[in-house]
Amino acid sequence: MIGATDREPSDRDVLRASLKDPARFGIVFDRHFRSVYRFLERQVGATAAEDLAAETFTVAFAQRRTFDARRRDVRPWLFGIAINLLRNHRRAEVTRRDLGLRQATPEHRAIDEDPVHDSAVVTGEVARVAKALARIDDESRALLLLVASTDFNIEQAAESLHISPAATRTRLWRARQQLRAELGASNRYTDESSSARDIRGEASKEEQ
Amino acid sequence: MRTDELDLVRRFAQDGPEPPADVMDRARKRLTGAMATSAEVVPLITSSDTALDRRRRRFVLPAVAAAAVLALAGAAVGVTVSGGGSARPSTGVGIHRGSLAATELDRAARLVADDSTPVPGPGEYLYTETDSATLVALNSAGNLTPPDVTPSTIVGQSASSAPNPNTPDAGATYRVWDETHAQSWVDANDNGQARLTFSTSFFSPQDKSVWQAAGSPPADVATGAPSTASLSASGFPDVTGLPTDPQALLRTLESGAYGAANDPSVAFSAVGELLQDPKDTSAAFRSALYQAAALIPGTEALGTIADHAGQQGQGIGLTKDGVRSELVVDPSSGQLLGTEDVALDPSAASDALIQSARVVPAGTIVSWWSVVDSGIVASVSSTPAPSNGSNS
Repeated sequence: MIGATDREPSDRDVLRASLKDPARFGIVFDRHFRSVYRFLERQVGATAAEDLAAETFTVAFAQRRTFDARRRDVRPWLFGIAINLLRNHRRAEVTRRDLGLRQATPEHRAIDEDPVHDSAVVTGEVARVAKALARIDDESRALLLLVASTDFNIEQAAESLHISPAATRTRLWRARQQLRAELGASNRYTDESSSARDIRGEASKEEQ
Repeated sequence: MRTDELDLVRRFAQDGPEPPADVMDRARKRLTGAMATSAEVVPLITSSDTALDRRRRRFVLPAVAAAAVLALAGAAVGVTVSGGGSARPSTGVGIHRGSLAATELDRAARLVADDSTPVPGPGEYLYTETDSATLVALNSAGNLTPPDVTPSTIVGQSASSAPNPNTPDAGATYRVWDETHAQSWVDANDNGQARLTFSTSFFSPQDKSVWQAAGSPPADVATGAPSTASLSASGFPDVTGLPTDPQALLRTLESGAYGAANDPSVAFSAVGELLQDPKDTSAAFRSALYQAAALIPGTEALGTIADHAGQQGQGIGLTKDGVRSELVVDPSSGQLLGTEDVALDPSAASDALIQSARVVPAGTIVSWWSVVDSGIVASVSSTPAPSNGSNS
């Protein structure tokens, strides 16, 4: 469930062991750096993703004592740290823009190498999604990519966002509405009920 | 299997590149460096050099704070199976638009600037207890009601009569409250513990009947069992970089970092969220938040209203998509007591953040959040003595 076979220690065990032997935390890095990096890269591009992903694991290491050992999965905790860093990164971007260090407007956010704002780096259907994602707000985009990049259920996504499952469900519903609207009227997409069933089906799978 | 928008996002996510080897090497070295320098808990998202000036905090569980933002406002009435919600007037003698709301917000800004919120000392924790709830409409499969349900067929009733969720056009739609009871203990370094209890109750007996008739589908909401989580500094939003100049702060709130850009209701909600922010929210910053809210067009002074916990305060509202978001502010301290969302015009709520606003009588409170207790305590899991239970 968390990327470990029966013969390997669970992430939870690794975290516990790293309290006495910090080097053990490298196992968590090896298991999850790629997925955290990819999640971030899709939102802020390669350069910022490198920094934010590295910082995610540095923060996680420093905060590893605060991980609730009763949790089965460390990924919601890790992605929660990544999302906080992402928010702070964006706020810093806004501040820099306000200070005139960036020439950009909300409609033309010049985030370097940002895949969702630079359709030149992606093509076809993916480009269409990228363009639609670029037009929705940052929090909604992050939630959609969190759910899409991982197999998190509502409770796990809620843990990452530090909000209640009910609030997460409402926020996800809203994000999907926004994205659907941006994807346009030509929509051949299914209705909300079947979409929700897909998520719940995966959620049930994850909870096994 | 049909493709939906989430599948497309998955394809986009999977299309992302693997981190190059040199990127992983650099990240690993950075982590190794951190391992070498400290094995202790270090809050890497730190306060600025003005930390001493930022010692005054209001500690509120982030989960509840974020939920309150979603709520965009909420309200104060019984969460009982027989209740069905209460109504707030959309207009009337108690409601004043524009300048009076700004005056009230400026008054709150002055009060919080002089506020002396208790600060936990060494070995102490600031305890905060909150209640919140959001009304959700579910269909017979237990999913959120699809947006294409015709609101008029469900909501076509006056504020005094309950809707009929059995209306065929609506499907077997029923409404439940998603409730959260939250307790948090946070020390001066923003570390601590939270205990959350999620629960569910039906909006009305009629909704329960609809649910039963649909075969009692799992609602996928609360379990009722408390869960405990550790809190740490990195779990809280970092507000240290936000400006305290009201104009600059409002520009930041409208920038898109808190929701849709250039949307006054998003900025207003962000003010509510940040006023509940548990981390390094100085008196000066809280004051700036109220001042920024005073600059938002469309705010209304609602007069004296009660939050869900029955605490009387000055109400400030902003209406969008038929739903009014409300802040309830302590008139003596300027502290935020609660937030509420009121569905004033369900027929206009098709784009409302809280989708259940479409399926309730006009005036129904569809989401609320309230501080019910707070104070300094000596240990995690202890609570303030009753006489110290005020949050003012």
